[in-house]
Amino acid sequence: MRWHLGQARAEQRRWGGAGSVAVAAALAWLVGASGPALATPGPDCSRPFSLALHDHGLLYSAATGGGIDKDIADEMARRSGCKFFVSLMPRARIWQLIESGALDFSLSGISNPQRDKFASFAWCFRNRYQLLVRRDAQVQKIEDFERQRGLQLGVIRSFRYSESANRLVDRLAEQQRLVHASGLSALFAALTAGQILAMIIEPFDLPTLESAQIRAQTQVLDFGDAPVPHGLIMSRASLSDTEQSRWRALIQEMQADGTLLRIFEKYFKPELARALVERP
Amino acid sequence: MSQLPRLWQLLGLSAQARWLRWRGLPLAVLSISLGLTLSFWHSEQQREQAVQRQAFDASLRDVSERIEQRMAAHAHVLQGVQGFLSASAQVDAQAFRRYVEALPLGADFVGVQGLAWVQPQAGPRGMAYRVMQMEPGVARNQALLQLDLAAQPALRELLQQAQESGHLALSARLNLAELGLPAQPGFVLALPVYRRAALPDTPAARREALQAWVLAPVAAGELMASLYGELPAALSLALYDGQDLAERHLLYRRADASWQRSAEAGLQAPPATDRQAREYLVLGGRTWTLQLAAGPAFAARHGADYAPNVLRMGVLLSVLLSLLAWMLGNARERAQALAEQMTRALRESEQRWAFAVEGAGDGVWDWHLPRGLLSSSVRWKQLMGLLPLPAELPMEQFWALIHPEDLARVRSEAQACLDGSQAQFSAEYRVAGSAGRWNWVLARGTVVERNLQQQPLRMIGTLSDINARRQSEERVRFMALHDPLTELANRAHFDERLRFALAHARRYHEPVGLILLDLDRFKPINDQFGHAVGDQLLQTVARRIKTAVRETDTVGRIGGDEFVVLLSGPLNRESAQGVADKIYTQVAQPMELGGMRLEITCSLGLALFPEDGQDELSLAKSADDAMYRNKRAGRPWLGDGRYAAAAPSSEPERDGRTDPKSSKGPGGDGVTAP
Repeated sequence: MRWHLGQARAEQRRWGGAGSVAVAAALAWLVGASGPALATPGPDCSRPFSLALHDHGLLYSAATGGGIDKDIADEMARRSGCKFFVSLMPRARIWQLIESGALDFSLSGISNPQRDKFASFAWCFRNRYQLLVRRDAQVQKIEDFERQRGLQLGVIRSFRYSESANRLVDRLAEQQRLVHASGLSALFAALTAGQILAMIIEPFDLPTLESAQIRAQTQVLDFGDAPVPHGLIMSRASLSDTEQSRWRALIQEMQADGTLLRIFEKYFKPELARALVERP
Repeated sequence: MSQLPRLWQLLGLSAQARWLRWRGLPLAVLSISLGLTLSFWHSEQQREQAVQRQAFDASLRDVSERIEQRMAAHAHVLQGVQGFLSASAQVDAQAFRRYVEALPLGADFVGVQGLAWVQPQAGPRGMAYRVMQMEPGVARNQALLQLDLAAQPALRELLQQAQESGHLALSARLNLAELGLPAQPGFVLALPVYRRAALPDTPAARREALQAWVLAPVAAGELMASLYGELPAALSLALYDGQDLAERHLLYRRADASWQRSAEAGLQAPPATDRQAREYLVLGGRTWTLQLAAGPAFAARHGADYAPNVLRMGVLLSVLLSLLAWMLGNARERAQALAEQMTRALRESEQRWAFAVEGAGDGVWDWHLPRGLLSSSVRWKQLMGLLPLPAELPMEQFWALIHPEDLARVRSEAQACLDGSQAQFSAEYRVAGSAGRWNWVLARGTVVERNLQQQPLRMIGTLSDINARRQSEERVRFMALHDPLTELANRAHFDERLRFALAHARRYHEPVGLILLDLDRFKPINDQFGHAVGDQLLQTVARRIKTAVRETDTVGRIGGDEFVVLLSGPLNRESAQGVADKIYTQVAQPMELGGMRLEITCSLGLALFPEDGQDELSLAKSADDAMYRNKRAGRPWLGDGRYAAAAPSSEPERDGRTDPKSSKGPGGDGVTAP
């Protein structure tokens, strides 16, 4: 039955995919995109793909069933015409499955040398990390937080951040000062309850930050690092280099034709959306 | 004065060096080894801590992932039912039962008490959520069918959350007894079923499209029991619903006794251990808190006993090492003390030996052959007539000190010892003494060191002064051969000399002369003036005879007043008579003895070899005959040849006196004093 479904979707993809490519080509011509992008064929949709989301603020909310990542995933499905089985799972599990090849895609991932061995990326946006600290922790600088050995930092398991944030997390891990969670909501709840004194936040956490209780209890400290690129995560074990290039081209099309910006503008103010999506 | 501070400084340095050797070295060894031990122990402890931390973190991650996977598996079961229901326009109870029976709800899903589907129904008091069917339809599940879930706030909230999110929702912790099931901590899973296959986009659309819910009460303890793999040993864990770790939210606990007791006492945190952590699991819109604590056995299971062993063994080895260093320092000191004691004993022994040797009047010498030098004691130098310095003497200089007559013999003796043909070297020789005298010494020695080729390297020995012994021996020998009163040759010595002279004369055809001399009227003088004067007279006569003869002649006293002279060397009768004349003349000279003037004459008889006799007997007899002839004739010795030569044929004339040779020869010249 699934095979029949996949076959039907493939038919749809052939027409839908061609249409998307045509529109993308036209848009690329309008914005001056390079020639080779036009020549790149679309992804091979001969099999369904697996894509996992994780519950993380504006990226995806299990409560609402929507978010940036879901919109991008929908757009990928729409443009490629491929069938996606979308799952919701913890971020740590996502990385494990990407590495093993049991999962084809995920979204909003950042790279490091270890991850580059088993995953490739198609960059969608860039953002900065900040430290959200309870005011009663009496911390004025990020270094103060590291110095006060009684303070615990909440992190989502398997998350990596910008350079300074990674350094802080690694040092605190050696001192057993990390509290792990599989979802962002648990960290906000722990921070509010005083079970942790700080957590690392991204722009996608803004709706939670805007709550009066959080604003009253916390302050934000900047790591001062450069923005970190985020993007589509592709499993090297399950996708060939050619396929990865095709999906990367598809994301670039979304970037080039303004689709990504429009998606972000659904969740952010236009200036912030542009700052996140635009390439330097 | 300037030397004194320097001396103290040296003494201070010496004391410091001793302190360093006795205490400083062991202390330094102890501190260095302890420092290394502590450093190694610290790094090992750090390593162990890192290993334990990684193991603990891995355990925490592992447990949380296994819970998430188990919950995901449960969700899959519900999604299956969801699919079954959404595929059916009208739910067939029999089909649902068969579907559930076909599910593997055995050991793998032991926590799932059953699968139910719930439908919202409008009732007189509003919307009611009725459990339409619960499979397997065992007796314990029947009570649930009577419940209106909307009447229970937790379940109502659960169903609404599932309906609006479109995803699996998880209830708060509840006692399953509230659902008519056996009492135990648990929760309920709910999954919405919509009339359309696709998930409606908005909460409002989802509310409108809701067809039913799939419901599954789950016993938390059984869920944890069905986790894949074993829970880590030596770890205690607890699972709470929500982030408030109150006992009323506890879903599951596997704890050691101490944690169990503290939990029952109402304490939220486990007893303080080296390692404890919590992790928040976000599942179906709820947060569970997993709490993990390492018991005492955890560290031991991850090699935590190595660092304490390193410390114990390191301290033990450090102490042993420093003890060894102390013993080495001590042994060195003791060995040094022993060496000093032995050196002192050796020095004292040398002093005693030197004292004994020097006390015996002996000198000591040490000949170093490769260097050709002779070391010696002061006494040796005294005996050799040398100054105390220099300490060493070239051997050539030593040889030069030896009497030329003795040198060859001494060198030969020494060489025999060096060659090994004689074990001991012993030689008596003369060395130049003071005032031109030659002193007799006795050297003894032995070779004490040879090389591999048995060539002598060193020879040591003593030198004794034997001058007195030599003189004594000379005196004894002289006394045996000479008359003690006049120191002239006695009869035996003279006979020996005469025999030797005759043998020599026979061989070389040389003449020998023999003069016999007898004092005239000596006895009356002796009787009149006493023996003392008589002895002085004899001594005076002896001296005068000796002055009258040549160096090569021998004078002897063979009786009380009888003397004899052996003439050897170039000789003839005239020269022999000349000697006899001279003797007569000298003896006849007046002499002052005891304040008196005395005169005495003598009778002489001369015989020559070979004319007057061929052997000592015949020669003596001829001389004796001649002397008695003169004495009988009363002829004074005139010294001008006027003496009577013995006629070979003449008869011997005796005056009753004893012949010096007990016989008288036929020849010889008689000479007598008036």
